[in-house]
Amino acid sequence: VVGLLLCAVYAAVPTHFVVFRELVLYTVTEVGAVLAIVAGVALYRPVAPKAWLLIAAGLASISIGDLLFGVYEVIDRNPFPSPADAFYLAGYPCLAAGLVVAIRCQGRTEDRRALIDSAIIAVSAGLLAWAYIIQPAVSSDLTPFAAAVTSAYPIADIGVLAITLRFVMGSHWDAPALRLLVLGLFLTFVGDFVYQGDVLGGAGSNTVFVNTTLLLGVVVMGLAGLHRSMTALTAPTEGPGERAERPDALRFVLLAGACMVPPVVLAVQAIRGEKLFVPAVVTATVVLVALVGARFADITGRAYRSADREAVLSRYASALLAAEGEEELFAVARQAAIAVVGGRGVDIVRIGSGTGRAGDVVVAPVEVRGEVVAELVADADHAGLSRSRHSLATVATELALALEREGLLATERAAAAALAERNERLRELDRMKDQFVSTVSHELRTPLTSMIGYLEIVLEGEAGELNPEQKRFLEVVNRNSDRLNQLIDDILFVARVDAGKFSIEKEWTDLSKLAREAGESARGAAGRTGLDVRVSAHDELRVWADPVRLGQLLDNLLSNAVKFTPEGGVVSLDVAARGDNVRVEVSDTGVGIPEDEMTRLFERFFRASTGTAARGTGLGLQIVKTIAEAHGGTVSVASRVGQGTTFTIDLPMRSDGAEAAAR
Amino acid sequence: VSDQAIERERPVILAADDDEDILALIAFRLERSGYTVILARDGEEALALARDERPDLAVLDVMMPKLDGFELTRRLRTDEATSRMPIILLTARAQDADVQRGFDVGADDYLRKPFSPQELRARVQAILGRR
Repeated sequence: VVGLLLCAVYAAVPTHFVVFRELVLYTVTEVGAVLAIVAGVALYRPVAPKAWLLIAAGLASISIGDLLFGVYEVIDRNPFPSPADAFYLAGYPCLAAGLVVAIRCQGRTEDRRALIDSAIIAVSAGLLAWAYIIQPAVSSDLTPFAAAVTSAYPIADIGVLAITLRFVMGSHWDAPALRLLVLGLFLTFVGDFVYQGDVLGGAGSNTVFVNTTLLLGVVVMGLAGLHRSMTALTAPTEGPGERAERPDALRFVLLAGACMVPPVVLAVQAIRGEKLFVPAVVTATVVLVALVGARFADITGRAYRSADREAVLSRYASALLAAEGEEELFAVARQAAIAVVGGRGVDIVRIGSGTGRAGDVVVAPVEVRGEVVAELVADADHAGLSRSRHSLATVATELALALEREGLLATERAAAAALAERNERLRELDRMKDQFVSTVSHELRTPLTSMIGYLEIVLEGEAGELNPEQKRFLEVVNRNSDRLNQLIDDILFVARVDAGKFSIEKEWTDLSKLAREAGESARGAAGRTGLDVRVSAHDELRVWADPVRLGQLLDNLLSNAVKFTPEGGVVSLDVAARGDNVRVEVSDTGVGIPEDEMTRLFERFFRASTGTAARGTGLGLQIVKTIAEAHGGTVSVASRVGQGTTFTIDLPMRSDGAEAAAR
Repeated sequence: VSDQAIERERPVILAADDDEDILALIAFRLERSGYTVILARDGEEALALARDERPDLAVLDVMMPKLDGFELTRRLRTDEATSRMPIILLTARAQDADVQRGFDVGADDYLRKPFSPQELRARVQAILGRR
């Protein structure tokens, strides 16, 4: 604020207070700006104070020049060239060096775009300077030394302008301090060019404007040095890498304008009828064409490399999908990283593996579920690093995702493997069970075959006459052998149901006929105990069912009833159609089943407490239920202890496939 | 083959089972009923006897060592000398699929173990009487 006020005062003070104005005010203001920068450096301690100090030195040098110039003006002598010019000219390299240090510190040395673009503008500006300042100076009546000093100003200006442009185009200058610095530099260029034009034109009309602009430029740079964001000048920044260039209209207009300068210079000179500077214009044009060519090569090279990396990353993504196991994923990612940077010097190091090398820098962490499991590292001075940083980050991110997926897949695979193993064990058990059933079936029946067969022969008297007592005892043996055989059949039946190997073969079956046959064989067994077995089944009753299994069902129900019914009792079997169903009822006048045992009746090996005297396998009712349900039917039971039991089976007359088979 | 068999005084029946007691039971029952019974303890022996002796009928157990009843039946059927010999299979297997398989390989009849010797006799007589 003080500096701005001083500027305003300077501009306002009339020209005849020369001493005060030129010596005191001007110099104090400039020294103030220099001190402001030095104070800023001391206060904010930027990473490389050299940059700001060089700028301050440049400004100090210029202010000394101004002081000397002011002295000459006060004593009203204007020698040219003078020692003031030496200090002025010394200031420019300092400013330039400061900016170069800043560019270095920001890590933007590889930005060729900014380099070429600033070169294009600088060449154009150089042509203009040649045409309107240097050439007139050289061809004027100045001494060669004076002409050289005069030419040195535009050359120095253009040099600093080129570096400033390079800084603006390629670097990070969003911070207020940097914007102020750039503004100050541009004010200086404007003042310089206007002044130089004035000098050559021989007029002093713009002196106040020129001096105020120059002073303002210095003040603004001083302000920049005081702002707290001044550290940004030398702060390292993340480069843009090789990302595609965004369309930038302003830059295009600037570059196009710069390229138009040579023809415009020629045209203006031709219109004015002045001498044409053909060699200079041609030289400038050639340099511009070369720069545009370089720019084009840079863009195509960049696009080519970008497409290349894109292809590498895309191949990498599919390779990651195909890879199995963490080791393979890491190997794939390592290869991708090497392909991206186009050579060795990058690696992916697992955290805690201890394989990292000294001198590596971490480019990107590999983070899985919030935990850094590995790091993508590179040689600290790796050449291709800055332009592939972005792609390397992608490599790391995709590896992290793949590792996470791998983790999930591994869990899933382990679960699937465990399941497969369990299934295999179950299948093995199933096979063993089948084998067991088959073996038991064979091994139990073989001795039974001999027992039952020889008994039959003996009972028939083929081995000599038996006395009644022998015959009666052998019949007991025979009956129990039959029972044992039945038990084996029942157990095998249940085992087959358990193994899921029970199936029924349906066909049109006359249930009445089956009922009469079952009654007949039950009567054979019942006759011995004086039971009356009554079957009520007259009309043909066609049912879509497995005749063997239905016969087994009826046999089981009837033998059950016979077993639990005392001598002189009645067992009756009724079959009848009821709508779309057939109902099978087996009633007895037997011992009955206690109510609290009814629900357990169809359990395997369950036997009602009232049936202690009876012999059975305890599997009969389960078999009945299995067969009934396999036909889509139901089983129910009603019983009163001491009075008897009734089993009721309802079966659908027709079920799946009945229509097709009926045709 | 059959001409040769008819000339014999008593029809010859081949019985094959790896269980001695069952073999003796079959032999007792059928010899009492007027047949000559030749015995085999395994499938291969049965095959050799069937080729050499040309029996009129064979009663074969399914579960036998060396050659099971199904395979034996199949081979007897493919051999010209025994292709028309009636075969009754005996088995302790209970599955219906086994019964079907027995008929598929060419058996004429099938008895489940334990079987009644009288029933075996009746089946043998039915087959031989039919011829």
